[in-house]
Amino acid sequence: MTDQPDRYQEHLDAFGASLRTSALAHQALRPVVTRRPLVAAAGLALAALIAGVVLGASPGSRSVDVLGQAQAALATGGELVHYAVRESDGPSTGTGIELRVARDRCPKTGPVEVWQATNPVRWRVVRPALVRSPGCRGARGSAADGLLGEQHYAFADGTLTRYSPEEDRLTITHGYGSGRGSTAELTGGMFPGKTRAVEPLMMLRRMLADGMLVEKGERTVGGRPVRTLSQTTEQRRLINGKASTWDQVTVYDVDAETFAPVRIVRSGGIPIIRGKGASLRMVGVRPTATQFDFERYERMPLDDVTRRLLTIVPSRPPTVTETGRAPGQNAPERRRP
Amino acid sequence: MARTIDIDALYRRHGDELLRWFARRTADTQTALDLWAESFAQAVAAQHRCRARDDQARAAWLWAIAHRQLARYLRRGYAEQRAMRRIGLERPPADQSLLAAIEHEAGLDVLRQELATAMGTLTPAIHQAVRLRVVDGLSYPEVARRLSISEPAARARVSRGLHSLAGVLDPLTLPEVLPS
Repeated sequence: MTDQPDRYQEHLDAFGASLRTSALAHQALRPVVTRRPLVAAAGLALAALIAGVVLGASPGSRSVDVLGQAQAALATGGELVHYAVRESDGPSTGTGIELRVARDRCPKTGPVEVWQATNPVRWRVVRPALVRSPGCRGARGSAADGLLGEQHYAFADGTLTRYSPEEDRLTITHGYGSGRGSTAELTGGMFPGKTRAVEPLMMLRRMLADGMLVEKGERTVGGRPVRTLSQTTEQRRLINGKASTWDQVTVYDVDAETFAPVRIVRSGGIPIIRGKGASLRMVGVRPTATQFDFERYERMPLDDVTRRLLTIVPSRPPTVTETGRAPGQNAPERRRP
Repeated sequence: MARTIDIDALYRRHGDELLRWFARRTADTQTALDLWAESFAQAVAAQHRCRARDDQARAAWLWAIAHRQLARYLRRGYAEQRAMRRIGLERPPADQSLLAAIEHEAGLDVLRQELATAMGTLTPAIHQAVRLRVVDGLSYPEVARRLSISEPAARARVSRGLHSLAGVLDPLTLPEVLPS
């Protein structure tokens, strides 16, 4: 079986090595003049020292390593992580750490519930029924009572299982890789309403590991004391034929005591497109945001009892369809059950 | 004053993101690989002219090179490999498993669905060329054969179509919530 993410990374590494060789050879052909004034370097070091002393002495300064604690709270390390998160996605309101989703364009009847473990990657997701709406992408199930039914998904040993209680159908797809990105991709797809959603814990782990979040102090969210972390990155796009930039903001609130996730809000944008044919162009971006409100977050030992939480157990024998996914293929190849 | 930049660090930081961006903008993994490799080759060749002083400015400089590569490809219908030849940079060959892996990483399945909807705005001739090449994944010679036109004309139609769809292709990268 081909492990796609590994093949991808292999190529990135191979090209990176060729690039490094070429860059070194090219540098050697030209005289290099690098002038880094010692005074400036010394000045920066001094400024950093002063900043450290001043910040260290100021009231309300960090008495704990919030980023480290937040990272530790998300680590799975042989445990089972269980969380229930209410995801909303729609027009945004507020700025900075006050960023919010004003109205969910794909209303749900409850939170998405996730159980996950690593080494090897395994997870189960229960996605709530959705209220029928044009904002819900990729929604499955029938539309009885204006709802799109609850869906269950589970992944283990390269096999993705999907169960629809409403249709009483269990679909098993074999042949997925379990390397880098699998959990994010597969679990992310369970969060409705977005073109390309992502599993929120995976996103947070990566942001914390990359040192992209900065601490913004303490506050209260929904009556709960939290510590707020934030990240701002500049986005660039061609809008109306001109290069435009704007800030993308991520705000992450963790419980002030346990550092468990409480809320994530991330700004985004829906393109405003005008014209037809060759004159079709993006003329602006309508501000939107995605918000994850954690209603529950817990870690438990992974043993014979809790391991069962990672598998789907239908309440009655369903209709089973099995499909395979050949190496190198994107879409699963359908096989007769 | 001549100065060099750390291309290796720039590659480690943006290589993956840039490849996925090219794949999503061209919806063609082979072309994306060519444009991606050529962009880094140009960065190596032009590093002495780069005046960027910090990481953010260096990233903007690299992305400007990538945007220029893409614009040239969309205008001309083929990916250049001038800088790669000049600095002697070779890209490891792409086999089917690599192309599939790039499609997977770039989320081209979803993109193709979106494209199929957005293509309703194209003229019939361009629509057909884009569909055969991007959605059905046919080679340029095959697209040309099916449309009874020359291969350069097929390439031009596809690139013109992608250019028209730029407003649709660009925003699809907006909801990316994974940090690069």
